[in-house]
Amino acid sequence: MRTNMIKFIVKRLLIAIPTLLVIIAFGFIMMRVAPGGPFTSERALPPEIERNIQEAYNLNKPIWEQFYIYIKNLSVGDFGPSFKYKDFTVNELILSGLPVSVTLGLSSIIISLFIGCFLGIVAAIKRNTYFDYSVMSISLIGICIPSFVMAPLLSLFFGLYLGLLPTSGWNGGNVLNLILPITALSLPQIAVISRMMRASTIEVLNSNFIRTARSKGLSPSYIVRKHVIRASILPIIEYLAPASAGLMTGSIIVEQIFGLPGIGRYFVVGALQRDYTLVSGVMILYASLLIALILVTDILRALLDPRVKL
Amino acid sequence: MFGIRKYDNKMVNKGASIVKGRSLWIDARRRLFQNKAAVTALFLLIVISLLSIFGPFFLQHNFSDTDWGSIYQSPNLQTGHYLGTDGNGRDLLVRILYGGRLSLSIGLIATLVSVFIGVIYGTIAGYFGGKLDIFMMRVVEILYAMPYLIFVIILMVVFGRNIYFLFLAIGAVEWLTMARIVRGQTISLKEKEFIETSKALGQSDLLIIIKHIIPNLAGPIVVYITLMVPSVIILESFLSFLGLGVQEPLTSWGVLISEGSREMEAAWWLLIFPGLFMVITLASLNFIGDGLRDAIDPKEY
Repeated sequence: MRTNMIKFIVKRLLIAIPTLLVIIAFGFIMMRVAPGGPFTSERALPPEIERNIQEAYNLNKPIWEQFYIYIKNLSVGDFGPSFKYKDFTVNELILSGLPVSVTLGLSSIIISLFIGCFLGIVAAIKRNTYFDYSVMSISLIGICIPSFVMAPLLSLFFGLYLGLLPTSGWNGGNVLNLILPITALSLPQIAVISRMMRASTIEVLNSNFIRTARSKGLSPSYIVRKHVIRASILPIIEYLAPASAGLMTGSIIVEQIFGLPGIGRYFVVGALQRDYTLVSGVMILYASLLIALILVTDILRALLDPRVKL
Repeated sequence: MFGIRKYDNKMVNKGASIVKGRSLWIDARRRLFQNKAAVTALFLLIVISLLSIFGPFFLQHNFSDTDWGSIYQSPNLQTGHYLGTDGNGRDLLVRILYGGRLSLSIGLIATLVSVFIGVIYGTIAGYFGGKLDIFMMRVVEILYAMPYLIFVIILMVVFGRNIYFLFLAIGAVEWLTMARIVRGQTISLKEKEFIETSKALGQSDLLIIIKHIIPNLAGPIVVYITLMVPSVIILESFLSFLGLGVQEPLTSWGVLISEGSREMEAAWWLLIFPGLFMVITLASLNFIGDGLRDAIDPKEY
């Protein structure tokens, strides 16, 4: 079992590494072939200055050498200097945005997992009651309202009309400032998770091993706690990676709307201003996070589901 | 045995004129029209599409006409600005309808692009199998691990904010799931007797794929299209929201929502109405997709 597990993890890692390399290469090539560099401006620069700039950023070397330098720096965790924010490295920018984005992302994933699973299980147990119908219809609405509609609506209603919560700003991570962004990020995920959880719980409730447990005379709450949840949570674990991808892109919007200085903001600014190193840095960060998450969910699934062959 | 085959065609034709056979699709249509939610959604979607296509011809304002005398007017039936005006005095209703044209057509075209890629990729991988299949699916797996929205953003940055490129960029990232579904179906289809028969008759692989495999995939493909159009619309609006999609003076729902969210303190209608149109469309498409799935693949729940 243990050696199998190690083999499995190693195999997955061996798939993950080329994936990451492809992504890095992709980001690098895309950014280099892009028309209009970060230094193309209205005003023509004197050739000496242009040469100096090119030298400083290694742009005068052949492209494969640039790629080699980039990979070499990446392997020690150096994303290089930012092309637009002079005097800043990409590392500094990402590090300054990381606390904001991590706080947002982690709290929304935890909140949506708890609320979504809870609602889904209860809806499945009380299937075809008013509780079930209302949860399912509200979640359907939640799926149909994209984050860039939901976030401004929330800030319009709670921020401007009721004046209860601040509409923008980070304010040192003040809880009041976080409520609206986290709600905007979590609502679609809660909707999806609760629907998935309901479907899978219903399937588990109808399966043979639950009937056996019932016929043994176990109490309903014990069955749910010990047997149902463990089986019905599997699709949710598989959903974790797409959910996090959704949160990453959602956070780009939410950070924009609520004026939070997170990584997503830097990504958009970098994209709009053709800041090559910043954009590829953020992309590589997102991609590696996602790959790591897929790896973790695969392992978790293997641990939880005895049917998965390693 | 050969004698019977000679008469077979005639007999089948005769039978068809007496008792009309119910095909899978007729059955599916009947089930779909029994589903009230799906029918309502279909009706709403048709209304919104017709309004977007023909509505602008009947309204007195043009979508890019600015009127400095009437900026930020709230919805008013008398002035002809039924849903109000924006900060440049442009009529919101006309702009929403124009945006609808763009959003809906991007949704449709980008979906068709990705279905086209996905079906070809999936059938080839599934039909030929073996090493080719492993390789092709590994590629899909690698692409799956990419945060695809970020990929689209980078494509849009690199190739400029061209609307035709937007179709392509979205189509190019959305085909992965389609390819997976098609591959799975193809693998189970190619073991069926009728495919074996075609092979025995010496039909080429290409012909078998086109004439026998793809028509049998129509059900899942249709369902997936209705579920993919809303996600493409969301993607387009997302890009436009960030300023990377559709550019002024053209407009889409994403652009309008983005403007609305910036100006909602002065004019709430600029956010609410485009949002409403979009949410109704997305919800309708989802309901139709669900209804179609239940109609074509009726599993009893």
